[in-house]
Amino acid sequence: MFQRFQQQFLSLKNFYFITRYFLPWIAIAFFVTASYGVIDGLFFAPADYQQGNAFRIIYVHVPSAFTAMAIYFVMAASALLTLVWRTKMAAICMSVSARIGVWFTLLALVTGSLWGKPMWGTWWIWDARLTSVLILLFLYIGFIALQSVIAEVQTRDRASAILALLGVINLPIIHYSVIWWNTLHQGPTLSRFARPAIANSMLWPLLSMIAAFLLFYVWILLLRMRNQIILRERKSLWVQELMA
Amino acid sequence: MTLTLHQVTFERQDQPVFSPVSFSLQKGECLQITGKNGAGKSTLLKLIAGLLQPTHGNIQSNHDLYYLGHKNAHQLSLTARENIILIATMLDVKLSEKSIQEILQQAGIEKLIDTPVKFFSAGQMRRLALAKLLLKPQKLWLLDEPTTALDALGVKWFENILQTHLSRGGIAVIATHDVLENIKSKIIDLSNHHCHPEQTALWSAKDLPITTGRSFVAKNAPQDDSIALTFTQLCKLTYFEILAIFREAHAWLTPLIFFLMAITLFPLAVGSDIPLLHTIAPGIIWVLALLSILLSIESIFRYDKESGRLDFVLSIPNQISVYITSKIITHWLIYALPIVLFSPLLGILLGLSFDEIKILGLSLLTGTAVLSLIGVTGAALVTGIRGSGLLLPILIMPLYIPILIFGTNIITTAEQHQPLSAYFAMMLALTLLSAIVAPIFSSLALKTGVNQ
Repeated sequence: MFQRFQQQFLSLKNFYFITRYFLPWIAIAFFVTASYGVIDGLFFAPADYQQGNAFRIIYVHVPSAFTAMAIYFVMAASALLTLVWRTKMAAICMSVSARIGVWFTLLALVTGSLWGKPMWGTWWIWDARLTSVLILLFLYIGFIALQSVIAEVQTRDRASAILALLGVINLPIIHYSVIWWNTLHQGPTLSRFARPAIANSMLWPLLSMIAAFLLFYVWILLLRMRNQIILRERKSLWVQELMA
Repeated sequence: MTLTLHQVTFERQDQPVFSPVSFSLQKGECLQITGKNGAGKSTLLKLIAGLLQPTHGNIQSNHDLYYLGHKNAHQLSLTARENIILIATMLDVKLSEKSIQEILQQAGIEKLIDTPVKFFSAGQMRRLALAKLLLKPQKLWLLDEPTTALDALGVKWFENILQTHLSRGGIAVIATHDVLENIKSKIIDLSNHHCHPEQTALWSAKDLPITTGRSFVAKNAPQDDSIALTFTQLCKLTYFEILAIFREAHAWLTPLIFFLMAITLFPLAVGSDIPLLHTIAPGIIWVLALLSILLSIESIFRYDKESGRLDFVLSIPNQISVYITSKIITHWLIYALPIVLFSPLLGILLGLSFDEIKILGLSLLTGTAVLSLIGVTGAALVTGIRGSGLLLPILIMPLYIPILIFGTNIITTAEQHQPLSAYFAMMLALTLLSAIVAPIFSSLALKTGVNQ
């Protein structure tokens, strides 16, 4: 059954044509969630009683950190598909995701550092979670560096997939060892297991922003994947027809 | 036993290297592959040897093959005798001293038996490589330009052993520019690509299921592998690895000397204030241990890749795990253990007390295994990337972070007289995890790396 699925949906050509119908909806959903999140978060949500209005950077910081992390897991899942089933689509998804993920990670670091200045009085603190995001950035950079030096497509896909899997095995270990090492950061704002330590009026725009960031990722991912498909299949008949 | 290729193609950068190849060889048959430079002769041999996977088509072959690429796969710092024993170990052949001498005598290099291979001429190296064919009557020979650099006498000798092989019912596939006229064989010209008439006639669509891939006809090899055998193989292989590195003093001493020298920089840079040095000593020692191990890992597979030995190892079934394990053990013994042994000296220089030195040594002893394991995996990943230089440290430094944290924090904890068992447990857990993950990922990475 999986093979059938792979042939039907994961063939590059079908994927290209099917996603054409998804794209506008994803874009619309992104604009709706993002505008609600931005407007409610910046103007209507109450100011934090300790942090004042400076806390509002949470609406960019937390979603970008969350998305950066999520993208790495998407990457690792695609890496597994690449290695085990040699799915071309997964390989494309993996390399495109890395290039998007690295920017979200950078955004999380920059906003974290901007937030740190008014809260901790310094741009950078070697706090556990900032540090583990920094290491995540290194993992992304390593992945992209490896991809950029291998010319042969299949080798590049497989070698970088191995690295991505190695990274994802290490990610939780790095995360907890860094927490063990040092923690100054405020506790997690959102947790699945406990009631979130945040008022509902602040929570809704945050959730909406997280959704917006994820949608934005999927949107850009599909756009760039479609580009890659055209590039990789440029010699095939259907692309030639499409471009004619 | 037969060797059968059905509509085999291989694509590099989406370009087919040759048009589909089909042929079938029975016992005692020889095939010579000719063609211009770049026609795909070596690629076809690698496909049959299982070093590459065909893009389309199907290959049925035998486990029992001997692949000799256009490089000789020698360990250059070992002697002719040691090279023969090394290959015999991998192929699981027991050799007496007499048979080694006989083999070398046949190849006409018996006088060089105790000379390191790096002093051989090109022709002598080729003779030694071909002599390895005599170790075991393998069923399938895959030889890439076997007669390069051989003199007339050498070519004659090679034709002799090839003839014997074929008359014993062996199969040979030879890529060559100069067709060996004296051997009765089929010929495929890859650049003008038409198969020999009898061959193309052989095929109709129904003959083989058209699945892409490679299958083995005889699956007898895996059952021979008892644990005891694997263990002796591992010990011998490790012994030769260590021997080869020890003969090149610059290779194993440099990282250690780097470690010792770099330590001196710190008092010079931050001042000779002992309390300050004492505070940062565990960190310094750990970071420098990590860096000097990073320096040493890049070369782990590079020489084997360059000498063709890696291709050879990968062409023998079930040999890759033993090979990687021996590499890991060798790396730890040669590069990590000296650092552990020298760390007390540095501890004294940086003002650590005896108890702290003891714990530092213990933490390095458990932690460096992780450094070696992850390092070998990273090295496997960049094998075959030319000028990888600083790429490897970039890839694996983030993965070194957990062990660095546990390794250094353990000393701070010891100073506060808190229990250390949790740290050692964590480090042991990390070691075990890496010991499971590293060989799997390394062998995957090496198999990928040969593509380049």
